[in-house]
Amino acid sequence: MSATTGEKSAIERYLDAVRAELSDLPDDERVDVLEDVEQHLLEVAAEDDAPLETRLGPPVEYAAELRAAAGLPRRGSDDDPFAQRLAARLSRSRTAQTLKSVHDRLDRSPVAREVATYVRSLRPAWWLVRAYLATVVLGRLTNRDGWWVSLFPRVADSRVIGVLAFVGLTVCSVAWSRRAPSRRLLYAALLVIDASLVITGAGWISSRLDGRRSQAYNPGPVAYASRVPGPFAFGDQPVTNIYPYAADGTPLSGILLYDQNGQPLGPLPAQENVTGPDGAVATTSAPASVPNLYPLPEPIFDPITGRKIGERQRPVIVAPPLLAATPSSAASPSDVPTAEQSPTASTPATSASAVAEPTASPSPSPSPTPSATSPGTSAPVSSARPSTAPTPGVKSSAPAKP
Amino acid sequence: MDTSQLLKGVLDVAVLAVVKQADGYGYDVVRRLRAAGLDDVGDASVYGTLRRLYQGGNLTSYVVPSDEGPHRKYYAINDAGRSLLELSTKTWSGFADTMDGLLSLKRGAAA
Repeated sequence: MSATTGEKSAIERYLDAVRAELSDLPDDERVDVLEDVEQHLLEVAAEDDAPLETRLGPPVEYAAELRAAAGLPRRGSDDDPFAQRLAARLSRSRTAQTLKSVHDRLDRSPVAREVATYVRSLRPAWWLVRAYLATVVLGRLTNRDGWWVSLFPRVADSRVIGVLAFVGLTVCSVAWSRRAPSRRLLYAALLVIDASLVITGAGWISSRLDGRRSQAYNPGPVAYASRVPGPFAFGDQPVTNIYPYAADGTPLSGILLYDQNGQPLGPLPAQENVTGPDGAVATTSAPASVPNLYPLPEPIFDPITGRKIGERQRPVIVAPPLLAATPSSAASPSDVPTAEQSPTASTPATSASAVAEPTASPSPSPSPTPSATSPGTSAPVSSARPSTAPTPGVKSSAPAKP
Repeated sequence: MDTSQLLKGVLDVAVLAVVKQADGYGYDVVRRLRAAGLDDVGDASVYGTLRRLYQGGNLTSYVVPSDEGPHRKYYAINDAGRSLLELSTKTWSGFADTMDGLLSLKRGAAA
């Protein structure tokens, strides 16, 4: 025997590696196979001094080749060295152990086994879907007009080529999946391609759905106008401003609005300094700082210079004739109790000039009312408003209209 | 063309043919296949094929102790192996004829 101890240990190491690869075989069969392998290794080692790996390739591949040729059962996905290494690393983690116990429990459940079988049976469908998505992506790359999706996707602006490509890619897709991914690169490439197809497909579907939705709901060019948030909304109609009127049609300005909790209704968060200590109202600052003062100033800017060129006009309204006709009902409109009930009672001053003043003039001051800061000595709204209704059914509209 | 892919389909016939010429042990069969021109044949493939043919009842085996080196497991063909080889040979001939015809026809058409 010419083999030195070094060679022997090399053989043993190789043999051990192969043995590990065949660990799933029944004991007697594995022993039998390894006897052959050992003989083989001894022959090869006796032939020349080259390392066994050089002559025979890595033990993993040797074992895989032996398995395939001998018709031994495949070793699941574990015969892929990449997956094997990954699995070895993962199986040491705690999560993996938990998962394993879950898996074992699921394995005993017939329902879970049914589901697993079902999912596995869907794989051919996935092969088809994958080929279809690949065709669509190919079409996207080669068509002049971008995405083109139909039952017969176009490739290179041609449906015939599209169908041919789909058939070809289906064959590739199926062949790819049926062959065991034995090489790490191939396996990784498969994963990457699958993942990118899924992402591309999902992106396409969502963009497709988006396109459909905006088409369905916003047929006009103002597709996204509704996304501009107003101060609040009634139903799904956004409200960007409020123009109060007295029951007789007199336009009002400098109206403060509060919700049922006494919170100011406005586009900005309520400011602390609206009411000062001892009830003094600190609205000396610019009226725009009161968030719930209506109508809100709506400056109009020149689209080119960006400078303010005016104020938005009051909309033309038609006063409800019934309200205006009956003075008794006009005496108790809802704005009287709100003024009294407003829990913070913060704003008598600003209601001082509730007397309607048309804001039509494009004066730079948005609403001239609250600048008169009278500490708490304001006339209530109800008295400020002329209770004597004018001619019934009069249609009073905003005076100024450009 | 990748000959290793082609080999997969015909390795059984090749091994049977080699063993029919003379009994042989695993590495001997590998060497004789290579000597015959099948350079791409893999060691493990030959060993695996021998094992499968043996388990399929197409080969018998006997161990020959050796004074020098390892003892060797020799394989010999039996009747089942011979008839399998005959059948496979026919299949191969038909297939090869078909391929020859196809390829020469193509060459003729192209010329």
